[in-house]
Amino acid sequence: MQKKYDVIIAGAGPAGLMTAQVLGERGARVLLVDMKKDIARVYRACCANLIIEPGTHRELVTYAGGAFHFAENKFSIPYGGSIIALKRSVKVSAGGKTLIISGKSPEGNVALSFEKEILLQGMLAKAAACSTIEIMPETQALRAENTADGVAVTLRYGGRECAAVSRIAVAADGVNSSIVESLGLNKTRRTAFGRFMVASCHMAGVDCPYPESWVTFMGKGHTLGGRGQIYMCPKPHSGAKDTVVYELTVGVPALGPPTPSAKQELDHFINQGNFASWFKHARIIDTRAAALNFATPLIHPVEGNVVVVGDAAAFIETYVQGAIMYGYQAAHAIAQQLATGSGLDAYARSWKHSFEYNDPEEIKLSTQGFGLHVLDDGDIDYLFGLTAGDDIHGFVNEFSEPMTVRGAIFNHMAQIKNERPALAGMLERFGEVSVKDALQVGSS
Amino acid sequence: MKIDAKKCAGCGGCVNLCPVEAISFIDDRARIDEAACTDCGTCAQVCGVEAPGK
Repeated sequence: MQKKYDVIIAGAGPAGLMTAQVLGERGARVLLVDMKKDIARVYRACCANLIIEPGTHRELVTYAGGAFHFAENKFSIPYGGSIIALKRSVKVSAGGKTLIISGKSPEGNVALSFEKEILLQGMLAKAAACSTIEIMPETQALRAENTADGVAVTLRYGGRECAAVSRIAVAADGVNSSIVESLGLNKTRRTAFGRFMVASCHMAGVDCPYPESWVTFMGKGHTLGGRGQIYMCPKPHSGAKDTVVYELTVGVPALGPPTPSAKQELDHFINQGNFASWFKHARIIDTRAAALNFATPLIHPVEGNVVVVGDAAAFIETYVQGAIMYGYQAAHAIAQQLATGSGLDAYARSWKHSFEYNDPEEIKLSTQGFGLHVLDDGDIDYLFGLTAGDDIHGFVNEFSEPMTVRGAIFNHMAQIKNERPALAGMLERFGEVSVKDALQVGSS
Repeated sequence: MKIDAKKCAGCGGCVNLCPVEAISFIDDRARIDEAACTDCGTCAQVCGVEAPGK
């Protein structure tokens, strides 16, 4: 007879590993599958910064004494790697003007940079040490199907397909979740905005004039195709301990008119971009990539006996900390469900309540700040120039930072109205900029 | 389509986005089952590092 698990978890990233760990500690028989051979290795582009703004996902995440602490959910997870405190968020226009946000945390930080691979190694070791958790690497979870008393999950291992059954299944297989797609849940999303491709690399020997900063390059003139997003952060890197390593990431829309690929944009930015001089002595350590569908979140992250956690349920990214937090919450709900026959609704409620982009108003607010992307480079140069010498404080957080930037610019509205009335009018209409325009993914 | 294993970063993005499940992940790199591939080009469209090609 086929072995039946309590829980099958598709995907062993931060969401899946956290779910497995909590369920394992509570005695559930868990099968954890991941397509990677070396599960803790990170090949996917991910900014891996800790977002420390209080209230992010209705939580406050901090780092102290070798662990990340989740104050509201009352748990901690060990992190054995290094941390680089990011003191500033620096927005750089194509003409080299800057808008600089200083850290608002008690320590004066905007965010904390960590090494995702070290975090995953610790989480994987904990899951592997639990006798009730079975881990299958090199295994794809292709599909899930609800049955009368559980879930059948189709797996592919060594080129062959097989079915595994469990009472509950967890889709922790990331932003392009195969499980979510197989259940038809992507049709329940309000809006699909488009596809992005991402390329990133780690580099040593970068002459960055803004140390300890999260640097974002704003404006069309940074790219060959005039579209996309570029940012750079210092990163702790076990592979290059004696030097400062920067991670440079480029994301470009993958649909619509043909554009240069993310890799072409990355190469262009390093070798011929407006700030190529920063990279004259740079050495690339490794290259990563990502492809993602960008859509509004799943309103209801539970379908029958399948629970969706982390990016698989999200608008774009729950961040590493959100993946861990939702994994933790889902695991407790699943344990309750296994014991009493109900519990999953509590997780669904918590998700709806705490993930910002479940509120359409949040998406709208965020877009008002992102509206800067639709301006011409000369306008961005001018606006950033106005903020020189301003004392701006905030956090890096995709939900709140756009509004910090907007506020800093709007402080100069009287002058803008006087000097550039047409631009002032555009800024005031940012509330009407569509998400598609803000993301530069095509027609609105 | 084929994937150039030297270019593939191993992010897995194309594996999940392939509409006909023709891409497997072997030794932490994407590999296309040419018999199942319909040449739709989705993998090439989404790859950040230009690994898929004819």
